[in-house]
Amino acid sequence: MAAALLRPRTLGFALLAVVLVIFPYLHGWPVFSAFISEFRTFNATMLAVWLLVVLSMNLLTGYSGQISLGHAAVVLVGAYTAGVLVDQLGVPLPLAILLAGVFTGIAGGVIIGLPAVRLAGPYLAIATFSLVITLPQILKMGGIRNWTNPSRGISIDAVQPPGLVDGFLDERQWLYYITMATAVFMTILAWNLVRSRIGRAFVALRDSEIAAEQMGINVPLYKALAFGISSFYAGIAGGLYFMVLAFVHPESLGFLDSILFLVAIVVGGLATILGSIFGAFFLTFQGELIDELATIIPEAEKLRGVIYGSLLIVVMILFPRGMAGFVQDLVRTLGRITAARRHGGLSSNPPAQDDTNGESDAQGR
Amino acid sequence: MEAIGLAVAGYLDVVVLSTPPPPWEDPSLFAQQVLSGIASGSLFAILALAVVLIYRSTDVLNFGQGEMAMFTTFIAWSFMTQMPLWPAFFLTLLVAAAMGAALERLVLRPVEEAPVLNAVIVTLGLYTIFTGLALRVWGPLPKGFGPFTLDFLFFEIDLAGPVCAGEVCIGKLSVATFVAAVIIMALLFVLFQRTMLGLAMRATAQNRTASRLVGIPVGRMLSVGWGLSAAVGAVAGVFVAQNVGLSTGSLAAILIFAFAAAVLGGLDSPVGAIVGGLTIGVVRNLAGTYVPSEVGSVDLVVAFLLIVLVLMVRPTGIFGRRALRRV
Repeated sequence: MAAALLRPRTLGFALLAVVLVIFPYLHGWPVFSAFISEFRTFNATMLAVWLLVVLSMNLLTGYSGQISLGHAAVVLVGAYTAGVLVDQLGVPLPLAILLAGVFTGIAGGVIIGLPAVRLAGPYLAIATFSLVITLPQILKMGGIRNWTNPSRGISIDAVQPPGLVDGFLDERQWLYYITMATAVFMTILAWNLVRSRIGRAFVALRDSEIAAEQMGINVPLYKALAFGISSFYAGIAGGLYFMVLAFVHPESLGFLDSILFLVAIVVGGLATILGSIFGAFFLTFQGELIDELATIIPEAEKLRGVIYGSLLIVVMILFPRGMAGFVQDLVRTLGRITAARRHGGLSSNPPAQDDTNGESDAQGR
Repeated sequence: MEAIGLAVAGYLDVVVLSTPPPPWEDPSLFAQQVLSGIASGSLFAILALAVVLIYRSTDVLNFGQGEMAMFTTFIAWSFMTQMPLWPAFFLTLLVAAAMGAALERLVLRPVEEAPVLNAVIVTLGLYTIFTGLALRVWGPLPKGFGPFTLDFLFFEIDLAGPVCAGEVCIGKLSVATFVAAVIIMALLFVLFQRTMLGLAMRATAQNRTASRLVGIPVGRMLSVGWGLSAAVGAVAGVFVAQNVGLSTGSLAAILIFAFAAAVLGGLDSPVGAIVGGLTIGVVRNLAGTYVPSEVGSVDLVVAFLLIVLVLMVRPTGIFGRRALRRV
């Protein structure tokens, strides 16, 4: 029992949990203050939001193989649903975010998912592409306009910590804790989901619809379900996005963000939870990275598009499994080396497989 | 004079009158809007032809199509500062074709065997690369681009100004655009239906292994497909830029309509691209005229609804053939 608690995996997760809990205080501590500014708390909060976005996209595109170029639109719907609920109907924010997730999930499953059942890849890509281009105009149309207020957007006051913890936490830290807690909870949920019957059905669907059908998987149902679950995640992410930035506008998220989300899942690694985490880091820090690059290469700022595009193409061609694939290979190789050393190179046991069940190779056909 | 203003303004910005009378009370307004719709529809049709061409010959949907066309139009603009119109135009076509073929060889060949998603992602990469490059090389300010005077050996055609029949007018440029679209379609039709090259390209798109077995140089066919498509895109760009001006965003703005046109007609049908383009153009203009102004602008919504509607009723478009499922 004690041995189980000391396994590197368990220790790793415990360490991660501790870091996540103390992170918003680190900038005040003597050594850490040198390299962690208070602003990093906000970065970490956005990281949590992006994590949900990337997970949502990965569930749909990575695991289920359904191309979506309109994911920014789905997140925007979530953000706007939360915004309108708070602004027009006075719904409390946490409930509004939950409702945003449910509404977006149902809308995504029914409005996009059901038609998508009949669509082959390229047509689905066009449909989702046109959705993300059109959504701002829909949000500005008469009738809807009164709710969405396209000229100034919807803004709310920053969320205040409740009285109970007031004094221990400032509003920035409180925002971090509730956002990160939601993200961690939903990541664990996704982790379990992709290892469940549903997750395996998604992967089977992606690899071959016909084979999946033969194995008794209800293809239309699971396709719609993939859209529904993915949209639920995107809706929650959108609601949190609205809460963290306290603002939403019809042009808050557009086609270029959709491409960025795609870059994130590809660079992070398609169809892995680990890859989604890398992808979230990419989304959080890409702006800063390019600003840093701009100090070295003066044109970097202008070449933003070229950098994203090249990254997409290079990763797609050379590392189709993204960073997660790279890390998994590294772990596997290291494991093999240590196992070989322990058994004097005459190992009869195969090296311990790291737990990648369900995280099948995204290249697999 | 008013009619001229309407014809010139009516290409992309749909003119919204405050209270449009119904068509039966003002038939000339209706006719004018249909004609202007055909004018902008021709633009969508040419770009849709480029999309269809690539899809038909390589089975890939190119999201970078609009941006590639924009980029080659900027190249045309640069050539035109150095030499007369026709040499510049044909040189641009050559450069575009070479660029398309090179792109296929360099970035699409490596993902050829991978799932469709990978190729789509690569073309999205092309989208952002070409936007970024054009911004870097030519800057964000719009460039003046035509309308040109076409100098045929024995006569000249000035593309500026309208042609009128009674109260209804259409820009000469629009007529030229429409003619160009039909010529390209006819050429593509002949290519695909009447030549060995076209047959080999169709075979390549349908079944690569079988094509290799009968001795078709599959790689070369794919490069030819991309090269031709980039050249058609360049033609589209040249016409779009004459209509709406040349800037880094001018083709991205119509890509959704070109896609709508291609989907409406069926992604693998050149005739469908033209019919789809004109339909989208006309419907969009009529919606812009007769939808009450309180609703706001609806041009994108119309395209979106058409795409969704077509895909729900006929998932492979009106002229498209049903795709066979490969196991």
